[in-house]
Amino acid sequence: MKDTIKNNKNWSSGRLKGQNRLRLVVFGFALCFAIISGRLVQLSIVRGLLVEKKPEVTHEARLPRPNIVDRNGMLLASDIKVYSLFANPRKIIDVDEAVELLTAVLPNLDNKKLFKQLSDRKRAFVWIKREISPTKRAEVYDQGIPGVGFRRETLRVYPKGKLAAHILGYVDVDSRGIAGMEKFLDDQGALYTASLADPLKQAALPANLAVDGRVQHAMADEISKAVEKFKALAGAGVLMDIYTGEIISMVSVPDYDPNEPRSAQRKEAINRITTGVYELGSVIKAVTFAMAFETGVTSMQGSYDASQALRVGGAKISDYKGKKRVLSVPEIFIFSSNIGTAKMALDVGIEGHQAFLRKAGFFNKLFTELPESSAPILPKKWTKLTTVTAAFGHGFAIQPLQGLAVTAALLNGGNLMQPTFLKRGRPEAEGLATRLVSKQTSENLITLFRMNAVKGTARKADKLAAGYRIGGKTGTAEKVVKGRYIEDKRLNSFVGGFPMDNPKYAILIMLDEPQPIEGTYGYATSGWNTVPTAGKIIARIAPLLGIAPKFDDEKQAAIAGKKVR
Amino acid sequence: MLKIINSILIMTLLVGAFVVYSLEYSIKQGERDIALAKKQTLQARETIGLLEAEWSLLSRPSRVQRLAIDYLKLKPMAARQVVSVNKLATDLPERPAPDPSQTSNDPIAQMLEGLN
Repeated sequence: MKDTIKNNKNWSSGRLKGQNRLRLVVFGFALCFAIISGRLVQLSIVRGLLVEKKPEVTHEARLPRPNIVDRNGMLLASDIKVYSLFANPRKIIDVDEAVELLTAVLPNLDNKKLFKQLSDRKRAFVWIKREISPTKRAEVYDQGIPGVGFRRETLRVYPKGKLAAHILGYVDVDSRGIAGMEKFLDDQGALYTASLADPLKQAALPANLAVDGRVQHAMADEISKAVEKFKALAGAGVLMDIYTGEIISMVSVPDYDPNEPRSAQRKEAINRITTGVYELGSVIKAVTFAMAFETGVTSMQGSYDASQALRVGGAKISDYKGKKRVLSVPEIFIFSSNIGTAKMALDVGIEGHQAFLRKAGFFNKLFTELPESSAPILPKKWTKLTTVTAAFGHGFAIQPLQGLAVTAALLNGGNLMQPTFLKRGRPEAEGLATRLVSKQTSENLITLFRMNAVKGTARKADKLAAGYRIGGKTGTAEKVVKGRYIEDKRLNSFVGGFPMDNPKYAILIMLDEPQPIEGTYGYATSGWNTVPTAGKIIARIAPLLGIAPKFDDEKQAAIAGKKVR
Repeated sequence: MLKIINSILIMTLLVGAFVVYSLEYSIKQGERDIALAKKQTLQARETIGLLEAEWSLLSRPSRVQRLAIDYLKLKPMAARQVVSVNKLATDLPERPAPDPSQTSNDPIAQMLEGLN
């Protein structure tokens, strides 16, 4: 150390100057390197960490959509990747050869049209064929035609075709849901969720519907057969789990194929269960009975005089095939007496009647996940005559699903469930339910429904679905055309449940304008068409729903014989 | 002394450079492998999706029903044919126990044999 200091002192001023300059250069270089390495560290480590935290959202031409599955995981709607073949005519060297090779692999292509397309040198892009299969794609690749390429596209497919089409809805060309659950998913932001899902990890969770594909098919099959057999305009059916409000099946015929959205826009392809509103007719009598029991104006032991037609406000109310005598309350139900039911409603009174129907939700539009739902059509002024007609289901039109939801409440101990098309558990459903009637009223209605199947108008259904203890009420409503009821244009319905010793499911079947056919002896009332249809459906779906048949003939007779004279 | 130190430093430099380059190459190879695996996974997922859709198409109930009607000699099950397990002993119809060597009156078995 001392030496260096000595040496430094001995250095001439000129050498010292050179040394200092050298030091300055060394220092300058060192500084530059320090800056470069500092920047390197900053870029590679610090910014690398920052970049990784940013979410990467890739935008495709069509947004990915989640799969839709039924309650058992059966695939109902899915996105598949397809390849579309395009060509750049400017890059094609030999048009003749290209046309020949392409038509060899894709025989459906039109030779002349293709030749014309490929010869058009003004264009740089023409579609040759959209959505081709992976094997065809490989074959075209192998041919190695210059100027021909593929674009990857996402296609929404509904592999089950028409099955549950009214529940699923459909999408437009840009993969946006425009009807049914597809629209519901869009509104819930499911598309956004699906677009964020990492395709390498699990894709977005599938939407789990309440519908059971097997039951849906059985119901659609039977209703289509019935529409054909009875030459009806349309038919519809819906099945609901009465404890969860889940719609296990919903059918409306004529239906459409969601793979061809254009077929959905036909007027007759509307969903009659939620989009249509109807005067349901006598099936509403069950609601009037429940109201009468609930308000205590009558009981299962009560009776009403139905020997003479009822005159209210200039209108005459009579019975179809009336018995012309005093009827007990259960008899009014199984003979479907308009007079008896109207008298019950009059006993409750206009205000009471309106209040009960409001509580049952008939005065409000029913909202489910499906965007297609209609508001009820209600009378402008509620008079005594309105109460009389409303008692047997005329004068106000509701969605059939509303009628079924209330029937489910009458069967499940009195809880009005919010119907849902998504899979749902019982505790969740009960949290949303409201109490409509008491347990005792519900038990009375179960007895009446079962009795009507054993002795009344729904006998044919019970015979066809023997062992599954069904119960139900029929309805034959005359349709209103230009403000008047037309006798031979009917809307027939059946509403009921099974198994009635411990009800689990509520069902509603409708046929629009069924005709009398050979074998119905000129009749076209509900008992001749919707009832046997319901019977056949229940016989087919009950085993799928895990309901064991029971043949306790003595017990059945006891239930039926106990209350009716 | 200085020469030895320098030669050691040069050796270290060479070895270091070799190690770093080989590391870089192996990392690049690793990245290629990952990219390939990702691509293959994506393709496999797409294929799975496509096959699932195809299976769903082939197993649609309307088609299965038509095939069952056309090719099976079976009838829809009647409610009376459902018997609970504890009634099995008493409710079964009188019939000799089936002989496994004789499968002549089993249409499904016959069909399966015919396929082989």
